[in-house]
Amino acid sequence: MSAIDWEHVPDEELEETLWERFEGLSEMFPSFLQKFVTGTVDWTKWSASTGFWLTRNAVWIAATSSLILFMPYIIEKERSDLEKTQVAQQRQLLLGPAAAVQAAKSPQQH
Amino acid sequence: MAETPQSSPPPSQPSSNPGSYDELHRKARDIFPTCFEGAKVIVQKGLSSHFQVSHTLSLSPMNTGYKFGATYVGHKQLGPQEAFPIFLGDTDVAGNTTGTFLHTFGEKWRVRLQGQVQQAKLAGAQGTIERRGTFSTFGLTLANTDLVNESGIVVAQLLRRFTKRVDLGAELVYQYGRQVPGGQITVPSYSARYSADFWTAAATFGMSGLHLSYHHRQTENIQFGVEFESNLNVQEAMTTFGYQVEMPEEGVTMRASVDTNWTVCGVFEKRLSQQLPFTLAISGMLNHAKSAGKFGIGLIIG
Repeated sequence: MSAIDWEHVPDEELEETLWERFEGLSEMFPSFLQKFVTGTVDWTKWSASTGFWLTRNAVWIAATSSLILFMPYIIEKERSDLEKTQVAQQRQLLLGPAAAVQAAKSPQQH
Repeated sequence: MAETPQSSPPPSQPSSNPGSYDELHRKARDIFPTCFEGAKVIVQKGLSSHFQVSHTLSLSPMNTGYKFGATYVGHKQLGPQEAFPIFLGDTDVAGNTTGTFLHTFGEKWRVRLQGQVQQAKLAGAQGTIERRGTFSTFGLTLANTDLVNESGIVVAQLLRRFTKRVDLGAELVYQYGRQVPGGQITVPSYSARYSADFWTAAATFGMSGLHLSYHHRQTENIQFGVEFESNLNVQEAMTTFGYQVEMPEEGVTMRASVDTNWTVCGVFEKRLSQQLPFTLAISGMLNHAKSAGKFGIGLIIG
């Protein structure tokens, strides 16, 4: 495509979109400010997309790893604790509160 | 205690003999689970107090097959857990067999012979003589010695207890043969182990790399292990973190490990009944880098 000499194109033939006009306004600011704002916006976009990607992967890795590493033991511990409290409650119902305390003490002595 | 020679050191007590050189990193390594894939049924039956037989049936994408194993333990009792001679054998349907024979002479000398036959050919054979003295263990191993082709591997190991907590050792591997560049190659390596009340740290370093391990016993039922292995020949290193939790009243053991290859692995074993000897094992492994997972379930009877 041949290079267009933008300086000498008459005004009626210039077609600009709204966004291009808005971008043209940035020329009124000094160049360091333009670069700073452009850099900040780019960095924000990058950090948002990378942060989102990181969070997605971190949540997936943490969830699946805890499933494999901790879940079976935690389920088993909850079940066994529940069973122990149920047994202690039944003993308390049957034989009175002293028996429940004794039952709780005796496994620790063994 | 350190003055009297003990011929049968119980494994969990510090005794005057430092144990075998190969067992330096054993404490940390025992924490890590062995992940398996597919279904597995193991039936172990003791035919007498000396003889035990095991049948292993495995259904998995890698190997589907049946294995038969037999163990014979002799009459010479050295300690509560150790009796000699020991014969161990393993065969599968295709005829691949491994056999191990262990024996002691007197109380100080131990002999171990191992052989492996695959596809009707001897794939490997290894013999070890070990002298367990009061403060030191000296071992000599001859592996794959081929008299016809003049090739083989000789390994000499020495592990000595210097103080109640510190063990130092050295190992020399000598390999000779036509395939070895230059006809022969010698690789020395050194190792050290420090045992404290609740933790043990071991290190092995040599020309082929560095191997460190750390074992920590937090409470009676919780243990942690960390292992770092590096291989300079292939320029690879790997660190593994693992833990083991037991609930002895329920017969539950959980082992899990995470390593730097982005792999997590966990094995959960539970005894299914107080009276009947059924144990259920489930294993799960996930490699995050490759997004590949494996699941295994096993039933151990006996």
